[in-house]
Amino acid sequence: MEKDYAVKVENVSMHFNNCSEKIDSLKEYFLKIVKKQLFFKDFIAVKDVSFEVKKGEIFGIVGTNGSGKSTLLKIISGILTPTSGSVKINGTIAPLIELGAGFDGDLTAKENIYLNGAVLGYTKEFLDEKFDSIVDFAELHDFMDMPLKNYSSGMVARIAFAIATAINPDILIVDEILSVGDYLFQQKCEKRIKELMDAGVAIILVSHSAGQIESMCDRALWIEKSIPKMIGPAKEVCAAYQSL
Amino acid sequence: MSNVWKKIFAVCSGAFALSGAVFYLISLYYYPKQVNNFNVVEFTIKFLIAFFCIYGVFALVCIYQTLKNKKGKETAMDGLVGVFTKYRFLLKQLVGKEFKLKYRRSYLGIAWSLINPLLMMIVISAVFSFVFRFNIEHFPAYLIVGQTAFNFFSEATQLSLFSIVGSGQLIKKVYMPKYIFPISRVFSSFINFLITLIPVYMVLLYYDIYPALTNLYLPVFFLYFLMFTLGISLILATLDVFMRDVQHLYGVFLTALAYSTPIFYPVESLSPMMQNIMNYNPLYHYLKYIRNILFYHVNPTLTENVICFTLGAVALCFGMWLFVKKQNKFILYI
Repeated sequence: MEKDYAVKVENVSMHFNNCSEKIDSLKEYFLKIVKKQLFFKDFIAVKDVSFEVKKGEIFGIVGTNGSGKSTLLKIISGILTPTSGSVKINGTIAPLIELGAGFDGDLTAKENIYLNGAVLGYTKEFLDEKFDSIVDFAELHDFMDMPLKNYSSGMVARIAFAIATAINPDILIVDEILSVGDYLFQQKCEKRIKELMDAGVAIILVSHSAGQIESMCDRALWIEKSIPKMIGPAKEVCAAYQSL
Repeated sequence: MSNVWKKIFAVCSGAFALSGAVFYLISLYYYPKQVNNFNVVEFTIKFLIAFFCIYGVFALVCIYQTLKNKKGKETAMDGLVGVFTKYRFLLKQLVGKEFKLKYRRSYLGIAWSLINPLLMMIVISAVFSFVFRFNIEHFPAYLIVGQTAFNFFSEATQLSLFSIVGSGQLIKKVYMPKYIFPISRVFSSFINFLITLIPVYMVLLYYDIYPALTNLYLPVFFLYFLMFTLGISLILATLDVFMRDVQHLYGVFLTALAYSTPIFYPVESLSPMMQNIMNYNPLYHYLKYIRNILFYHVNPTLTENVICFTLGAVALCFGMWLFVKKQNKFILYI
């Protein structure tokens, strides 16, 4: 059977046991039990969401702050395991959610590229091959043997973006439009994302700005206070979202 | 996936058969000197029973895994093997990072791994040669063998304890098997342990204790001890996520453990009752094992082999079971 979807989300719900306070130690735990102050509030972050993203489709997720967008993204990229429901991924996935995961300030930029690449699941051969283009893209040739802690935050972000987009993934997850580095570099980033879009990559774009979703996406999901409100063509969903 | 287990089974069966033959012959060489009324037939039967018990456990694991995989299920063991196959590059990077950071900006760098155990040995053996005296020949050699093994255990478990909580930033951001954090800590400590064996051999040679055939047991010892250490590390890493008290308690516990394990005293110096109690200290068995093969050049008995293997297997199984059961909840607590 030919799979024509890139991502399939089926009835995904995510519950958190929301303690009134965070309890980290045994003493506190027992004290709370004795005082009968241990309440578990069931907090639902995402409730019964289902959608399918086709290959090559640009799919948007809109919603106000705290409505469960980021949780949903983390579930799709496998960081969180949903309480119920399932997520099926068909292809390689490149999450541009948090850039530079695993960077260590004491290591040099070169060592960090390999470390971060390994964290993202690249192979050594791939990194050897792409190393020069990553450095080219980040435009940081002269600083490769400097510990990362001496970098400015903009420079760190450049490297992180360059590594994250070094592969040609089947699915790209983008949280907000990345504001990375200076004006010129931002343009470069946008160009790179457009390139990936043109290459027929399925993209899941998350934003709270309806304008962005409307102009870039084919279809969209509107999620409000953890409940999926509407799913359909981007224009209709955004119109509904804005009339809120 | 089931191919992986068939491959593991084939390769390891070969290794089992080969090492079984080697250790049988070594035992035949050593035992008649060590045991009164040594009976070859009786020993052969016992050896075969012990060998097939250990091999049987391994074979059962392989069969169980293959069956599970046929049903399309991934088990804890698959996760563990995956760390060494699919995620080998990441594991290498993480182990390399531990190593680079440990010695960065020190003049002597990795040489500290060699110097440190020697310095510790000098300090402790000075204390116990002048202040408290024990009747052990070549005391510094006796000391350094036990001390390096114990240090590996304490370093690996202490680093693993923090491994999940300390990698919180990473776990929250990208997906990767969470096994990899404790495993990378245990392995970087293990590499360090291998390096510290160089000064251990230097000291042994200084006291005219030349390598004997029993040193061939070293890989077997590594296997047992790694299993045990990894098991304990997984348990500690899991517990620490849910109760940070473990961090504070474990330091005290390790100190207590260091005194209650015969590292710098002979177990014979204890009262008979204490010697009995000592049998319940897992580390005592491991230290006895490595001292037998490196220091005394005594062939470890079948019972000792079975004890060390069983302790390792039980610790590892329990550790993995606990870790897998709780790993999806880690992210909510860090």
